[in-house]
Amino acid sequence: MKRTLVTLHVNGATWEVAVRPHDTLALALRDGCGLTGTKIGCDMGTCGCCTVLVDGRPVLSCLTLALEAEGARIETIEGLAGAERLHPVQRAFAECGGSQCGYCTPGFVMTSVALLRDNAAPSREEIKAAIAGNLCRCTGYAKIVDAVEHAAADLRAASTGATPPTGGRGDSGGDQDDAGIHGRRQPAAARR
Amino acid sequence: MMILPEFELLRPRSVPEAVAAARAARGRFDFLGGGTDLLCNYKWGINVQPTVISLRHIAELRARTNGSVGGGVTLAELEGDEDFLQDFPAFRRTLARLASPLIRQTGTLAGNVLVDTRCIWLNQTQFARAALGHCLKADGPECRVVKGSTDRCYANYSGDLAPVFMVYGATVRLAGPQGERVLPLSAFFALDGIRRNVKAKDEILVSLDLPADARTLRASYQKFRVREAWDFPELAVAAAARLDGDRIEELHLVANAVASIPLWMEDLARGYVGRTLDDATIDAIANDMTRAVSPVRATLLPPSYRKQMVGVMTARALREIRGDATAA
Repeated sequence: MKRTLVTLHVNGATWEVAVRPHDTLALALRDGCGLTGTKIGCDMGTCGCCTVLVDGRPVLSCLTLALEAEGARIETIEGLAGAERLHPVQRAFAECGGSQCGYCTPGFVMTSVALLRDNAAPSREEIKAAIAGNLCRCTGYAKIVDAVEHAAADLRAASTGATPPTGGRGDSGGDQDDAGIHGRRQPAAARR
Repeated sequence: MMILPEFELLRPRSVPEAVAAARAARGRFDFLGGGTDLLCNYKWGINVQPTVISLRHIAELRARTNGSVGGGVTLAELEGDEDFLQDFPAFRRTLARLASPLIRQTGTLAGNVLVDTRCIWLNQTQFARAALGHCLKADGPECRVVKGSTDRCYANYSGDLAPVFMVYGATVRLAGPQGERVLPLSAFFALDGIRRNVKAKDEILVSLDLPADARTLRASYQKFRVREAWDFPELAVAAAARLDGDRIEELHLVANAVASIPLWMEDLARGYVGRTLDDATIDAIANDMTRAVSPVRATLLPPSYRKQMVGVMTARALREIRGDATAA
């Protein structure tokens, strides 16, 4: 089937990817941009593994057509970490044991980042409600909720310049808005 | 991985453009809202069409004004509309318990109202359905749930918003090749799992509109599902009443997810107008609702259990409307 050249703005870089009308955003990110941090789990909108941020909102990339994402600002797990340090949410997942096999983790992290941008101090119930669309078969969720709580505290501390309440777990991570965006890349040739 | 089948994607910018595109496709198309229902069905190979017409880029469908909600408004947008939720509070919990937060980010009002009926025989992979022998709704000669039925599909309606809009007295605005028409949402659905409603294939659900006096109704939506996130309802009850003290001045009831459409219980509800909303009346209405429904084995839980639970959910809804603290 005929492919269309679509411009995707991903993690601050602009990509041109040749996609078919029925290609999902998840496929375009993984195969077209080579950003394989976005995982495909159930591929039916149930598990949340494929969550990316589209214009700041957490979206299931397995149920979003790539053509429909044209012009939007897309953030994937690769866009969060700086060159030498993790995003505070990623670091909290690692330190709190919120990630075991790790397959669902990119989706949880992206959902959590979106939550913490809207709500800097969510309660445990609010965290549980926010991640209700993400499934994990390893952790049992308690440590994931712990991780989001810790990340929230770290981000609040970083924004006020205070020492994180869970000090000793590494650097403060900085403000979330500048913590993750890579430099603008050159347009890449389409792989597909 | 679930691969989408090939289709042509059209992206009209206005309702007339979308209607024209639908007409040109001569019935061999689907409208795409959020995609959280349609694309899943396509991945399962269920009733795939060669053309998909995306409605995401039509500003008119995203409009929200005083009591009017465009069909393209996402569930998350509605969930975040505090003015709307203040006016129609039954939607607050309904939206919070609808699908999952991620589905709600892209799922739309029209998509939920028009959600395709579901069935344990239907919503499976092409491979599984072929092994089972297909069914009337997709590629087969007869219904597998009600054996021998060759003219009616018994798949289950699974939307959550339509019942609440119905008890609030909403109307639905449709746009098609013949222009616009408005009809009560209570008259919108047609009791068949394939046909589902009276909307013509090339008509677009533009908006649902709530009457001004709906704000004075007290309403409740009680939903039963297996998991507290993502799952479709196994059964639900929507109720709305206008009370004068304890006396019922107006009553509307819908039994949901126990048939191929939300069941509008107009006659049953009318019989209780003028009565006092006491425990005896609530029990009587709950028993009548239980007797009025006949679910079939199209979902996970046994029909007999779902039938009994309709009464339980009816009582909970009415107690919440009455103001009982522990009703919900």
